[in-house]
Amino acid sequence: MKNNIKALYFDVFGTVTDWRSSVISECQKTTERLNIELDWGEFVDKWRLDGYIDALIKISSGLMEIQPIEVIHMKKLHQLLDEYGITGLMPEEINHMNLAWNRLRIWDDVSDGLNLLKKKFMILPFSNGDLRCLVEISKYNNLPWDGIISADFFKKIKPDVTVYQDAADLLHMNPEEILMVAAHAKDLEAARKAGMKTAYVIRPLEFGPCAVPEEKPEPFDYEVDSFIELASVLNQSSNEQ
Amino acid sequence: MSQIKALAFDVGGSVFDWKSSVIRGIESLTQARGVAIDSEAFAMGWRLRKFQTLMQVKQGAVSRMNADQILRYTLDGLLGDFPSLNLSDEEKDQLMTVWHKMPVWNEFPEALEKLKSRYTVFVLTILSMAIVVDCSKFNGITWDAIISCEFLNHYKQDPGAYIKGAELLGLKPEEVLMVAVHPSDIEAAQRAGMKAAFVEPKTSEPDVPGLSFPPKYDQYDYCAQTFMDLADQLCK
Repeated sequence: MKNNIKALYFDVFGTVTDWRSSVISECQKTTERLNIELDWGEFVDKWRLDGYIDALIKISSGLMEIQPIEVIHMKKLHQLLDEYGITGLMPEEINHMNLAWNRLRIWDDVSDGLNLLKKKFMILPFSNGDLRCLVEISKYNNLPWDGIISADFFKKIKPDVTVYQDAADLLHMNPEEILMVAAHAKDLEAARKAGMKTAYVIRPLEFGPCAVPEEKPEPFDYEVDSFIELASVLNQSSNEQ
Repeated sequence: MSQIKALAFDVGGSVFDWKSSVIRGIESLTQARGVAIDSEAFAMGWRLRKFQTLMQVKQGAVSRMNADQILRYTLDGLLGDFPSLNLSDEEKDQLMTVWHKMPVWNEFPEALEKLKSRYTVFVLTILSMAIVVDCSKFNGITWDAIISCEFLNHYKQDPGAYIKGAELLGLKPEEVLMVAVHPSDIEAAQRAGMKAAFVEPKTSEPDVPGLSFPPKYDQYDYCAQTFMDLADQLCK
């Protein structure tokens, strides 16, 4: 495919980071001394889907003001601790558990893939996560970003189509010079509507081993299994020009 | 003294050598057409006009612009002082790219890596995000974050720029050390609650009333000859 891509914008949660297994193991570590038996996968899925994602949907539809990610996570965490009857955690342990989302591990291919991609392109995360969260995740994993773009800079959230245009304007680029890289069709569909190129990364384990893969109504410009594969596909397509 | 967790860097003039970049850009144009101008005066004039226009933006006298828009806007005025140049719009656009290719001082990349191993190191700048991202890529350096005043709704040296900048990273102002070669910048940061580090400048700046004054060495938390000197002091 012919392209004039200059920059790659990356979704972070699920695309760069394996949030589910990271938060599960953080929760297990924090509660180890309490000897609790519970399905932490279910706990973390509720935290993510009924807590964070649900809040994003409410923000998108104007039912809720934009709030810092920690505040959204903390509210749901307290509800879940009640729901599962987990008592005996100190406030600083709860706080540490809440910030597990700032200590997410990355998928195995990410570090090598980003270093390959960085040679040829600008690489930046473009996420709904706030700057603090994105910086801490990046520092924790030593990610070589050329800059960080949080949708929070614009007081909007993805997949609002206009925020993709804002993010392109920020680097003085045309949307078609940007490749949005994500593991979620909704994110890429909005990016495409804004004029960006799109790369779908298949992350079958994002929602755990039992999850059903999401539907992709339309094909995207690229579809890859890893960032390393993305680097090699982009290399090939630029050599063909 | 409370613990410093992060370092905020001024970049224009502190890290990025704007002057040599502008001089190189204008000389490639003047040489091509065989005219001679005082390139340093051209560079200093552009930089001065940028600060003057920025003040007008802050006062609300001119509409809100980011650094690129201000630089493009001031270029036309500046060219009035250099009538022999007679630049086309294309040449003006070409000249604008000098702000996206400013070199860093030789010692800087190593000092940055050393500081990043211990602190969160971010940019807090009046320059646009695009300028800082482009110049950083051009020099092969990587920051932990880049905060441009263009999305803070406050320009340095308003206290709000420092406070909001820290807040975006979940930090209190007193946990942040502002690093610059400009006394006015670090003193404004101090007034907003940050710590201050002064590094000796490597190039002269135009004289801007209210902004240009000598350093008050005894008032700052750190004073360093070079960035490596600062890194050595901070990473003991």
